[in-house]
Amino acid sequence: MNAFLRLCLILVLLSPPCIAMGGLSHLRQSVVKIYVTAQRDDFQQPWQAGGSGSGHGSGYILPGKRILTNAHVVSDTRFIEVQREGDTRRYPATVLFAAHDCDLAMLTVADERFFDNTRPLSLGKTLPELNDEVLVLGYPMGGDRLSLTKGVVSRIDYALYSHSTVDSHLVLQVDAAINPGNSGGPVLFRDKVIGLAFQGILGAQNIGYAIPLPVIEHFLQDVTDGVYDGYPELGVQHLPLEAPALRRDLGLSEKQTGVVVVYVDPFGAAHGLLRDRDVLLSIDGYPIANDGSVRYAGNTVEYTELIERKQCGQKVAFSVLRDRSTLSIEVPLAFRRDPFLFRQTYDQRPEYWIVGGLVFSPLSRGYLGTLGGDLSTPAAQQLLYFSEYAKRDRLFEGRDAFVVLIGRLRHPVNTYCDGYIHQIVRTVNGIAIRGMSDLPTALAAASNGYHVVTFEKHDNPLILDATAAAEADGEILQRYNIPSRCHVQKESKP
Amino acid sequence: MKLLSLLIPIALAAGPAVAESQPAAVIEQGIVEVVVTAQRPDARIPWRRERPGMRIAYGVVVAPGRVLTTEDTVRNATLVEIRRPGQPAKYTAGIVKADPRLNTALLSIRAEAAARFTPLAWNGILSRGAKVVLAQFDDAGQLQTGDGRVTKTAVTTLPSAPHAVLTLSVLSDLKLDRIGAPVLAGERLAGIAIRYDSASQITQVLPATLLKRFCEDAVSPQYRGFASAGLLWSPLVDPVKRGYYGLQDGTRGVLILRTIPESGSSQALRAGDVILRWDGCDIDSQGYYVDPDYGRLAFPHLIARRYPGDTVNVTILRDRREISVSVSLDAFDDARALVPMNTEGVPAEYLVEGGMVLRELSGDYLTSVGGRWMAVNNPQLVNLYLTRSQFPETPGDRVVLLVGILPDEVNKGYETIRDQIVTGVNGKPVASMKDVFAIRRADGGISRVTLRNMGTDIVLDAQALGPANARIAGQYRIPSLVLERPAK
Repeated sequence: MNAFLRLCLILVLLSPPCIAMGGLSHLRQSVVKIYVTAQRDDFQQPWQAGGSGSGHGSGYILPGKRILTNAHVVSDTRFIEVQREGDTRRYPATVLFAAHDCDLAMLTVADERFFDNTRPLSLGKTLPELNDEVLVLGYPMGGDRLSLTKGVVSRIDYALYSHSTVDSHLVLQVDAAINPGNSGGPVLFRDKVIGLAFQGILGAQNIGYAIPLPVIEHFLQDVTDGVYDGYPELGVQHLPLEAPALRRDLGLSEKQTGVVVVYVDPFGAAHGLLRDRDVLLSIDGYPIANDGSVRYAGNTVEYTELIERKQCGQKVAFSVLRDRSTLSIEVPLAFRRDPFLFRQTYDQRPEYWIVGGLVFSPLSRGYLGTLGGDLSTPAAQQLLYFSEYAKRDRLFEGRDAFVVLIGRLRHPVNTYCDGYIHQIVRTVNGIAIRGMSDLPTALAAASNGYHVVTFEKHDNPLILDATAAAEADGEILQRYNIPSRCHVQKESKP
Repeated sequence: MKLLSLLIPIALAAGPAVAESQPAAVIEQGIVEVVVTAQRPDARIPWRRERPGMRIAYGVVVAPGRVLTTEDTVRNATLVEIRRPGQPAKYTAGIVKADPRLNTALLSIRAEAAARFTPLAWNGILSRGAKVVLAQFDDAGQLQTGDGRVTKTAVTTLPSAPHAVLTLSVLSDLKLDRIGAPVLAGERLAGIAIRYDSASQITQVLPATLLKRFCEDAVSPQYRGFASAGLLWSPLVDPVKRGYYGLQDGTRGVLILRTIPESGSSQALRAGDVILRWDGCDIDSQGYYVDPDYGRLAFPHLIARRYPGDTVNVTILRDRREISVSVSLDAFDDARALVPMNTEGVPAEYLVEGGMVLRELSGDYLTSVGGRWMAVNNPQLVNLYLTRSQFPETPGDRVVLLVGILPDEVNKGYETIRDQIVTGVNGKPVASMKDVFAIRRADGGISRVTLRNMGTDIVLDAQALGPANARIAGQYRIPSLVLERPAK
């Protein structure tokens, strides 16, 4: 009796979406469930992987037998399967492109039967306005079958994409429920895709975020050449020009508007082209207001929004007031690998090197994430400083990475080497350490039988018996169950 | 039953033993309660003061009209009074000298108050195992005493300031309710309590030898304090590391890591030297020496027991050769640091100009945010404090901060800037608030600020500063826009 009642209740709750879906039946064929088994690396013991776990997300079918989903759904995965609504079969899928800087990924399925009778969804032409009604489709927690929620566009704004921890792009905020499992599901406006559900705010209510149309288009356009380049970074920070005294100091006339450059990132596209104290007057012909906004396509947007829409290889043209004269400066946009941005990485085994039981590994976002309560120790605090001020305080100069002593596998050979954990290596045997690949070279240069390791802003060198360390390593690897003494990207073993 | 009968006579015997004995009267005459009203400055907003609070500790009369208590008791005091425990009458006291280096303060009381008390006599050296008595008063002003035993003599970090000092640990069954309580040997003063841990029943005690020296020093024309060598060192126990530094014997030597510029040791010692002998005592690989009075002690006590200005002989191993050098000692001076700790919480010098709040970085500014201060402050400032605080490039250098901006129409566009290092004002380099004040006096105002991590100066309208300052002082209720102290 009880069970019967409950069944009725569920049917009643389910029915309205079913009716709504009647008119949108083709959508059911286009939204897929993605089953993943993921395994994150162990940044404290980089020779082994962490535990694996299973989960699921959503995705939708693009023209050309492709599936679009979030990068975070398929990151660090060992096994991916996709399933269509109403089909019991699961098909293995593979990742074609994963764009971690904008949390988008494209999958394909080898077995083409998967795509039989599907109707790819097409992208909308423009973003909806505030208060326009949108549908969110996907497979959130709380059930197995396709779910549909309805809401309105509450806000269109810039926000941090939590997947990479450092990138900000446009986001679409909707008041439709977006829950775990919704990730990668399409947000529809008049049957067209205008967003991809991707993140929420813990503790907030009726706030769900979707990756909006321009970011999806940017990604799809980027990968047409078979490679995902990523968003070009201008690498400029500015100050609004609201203070009359500052405007006079920079030589702006009453009518001129713009923002002043206060920082040029050494890894950004503008490096070497724009300078501190440059006033950016206009971008691609659009005048920049004193608060950094431009009027673009009928909207007021941040001037950086114009760069957001460009691909690597394109240019952006600024009109610049420099030393009281106006210049035209073209900045070619390119993606430069920036190891000092400390973006969260995925599907990349952390590098490490073990000598005498001392474990060295490059500083990464993943490693910083393991510090937790240690951040109240001076050595770990220094890692925070080096990660946040690497470029501003020129700490990165002469370096490809910050090599950190992340652990000590206790053994008589290193039994007195305490007090060095989390320290950043400066030199080994007198050789400056640019990155992990310098370690083997420097370790080969032991003099008088000693390895001498010095650390950043630390006056006490670490001394190791070079011969004893080499002899001990085999035993240490065996004792601590470590398959290999190192994993270094650039091969330069001794 | 047998057990009970055994207990009762002992309990009975213990009570009268103290009450009847003659020393109790002597002790009672020499102990006061120190009642302090204190108001700490707000470490973040230098013109604000926190709500006044009250502290009560014990003090010991050490000479006619002189009361000894702890420095942290009278820190930031607005009123210091003393009273006889259990009595209502209070007498105002003045602070003769308070030294956070030893956590001691000497107070003075007027003659009519002084006449009511009798000073305690000093006891000499107490070694481990010595029997002592701890004394305090109950609510009714009755003397309570408890037997104790010195279980440890060691150089430990004070609870009130990051200084290492020789202290005694006393195990006693008396539950101490306040610090400053006297520790007695017979009726003589053997030390004062600076910390009590009820779980272990251990009282940390400053020994009379140090206290007596402090009291004599405090009333001398020129306070000398305790010596400091200005060096960072590390134990040298690893046989491999000892070999690397050329040490053949296996017992002596600690490694010098760094010397503080302009300090006594910077002239004679350098990083990489190994200290074998300091001021007549061999230093072992962990940094201990054998003190004739107190046993094995950390060698910083060898430094602190001297006066600033003294010269000591030091044997070092340098480039594998044993040599002797003379090291002249000086006093630890927080004011010489690039980032002073400011453990005493002296209000920072500051300037509010056009809504910009300028001051120097200090330890209390960073640590006042609580236990997670290393993780929650600007990591650049924390790192400076943790790694470079003692090492200014030029003596007198400080870190000038633009703490933040009090929003006003004069500083529109800058209101988000906070906790930035200032390298120049009005186009001239600055390395301290002294520089900032000097430039402001010469130029009549600060209208341009150069920040270390911002490529464009902050520029304000120089003409608008006067009215803006008056407006901001009124709006934000800042009693004074400048706090500048005269140079020492």
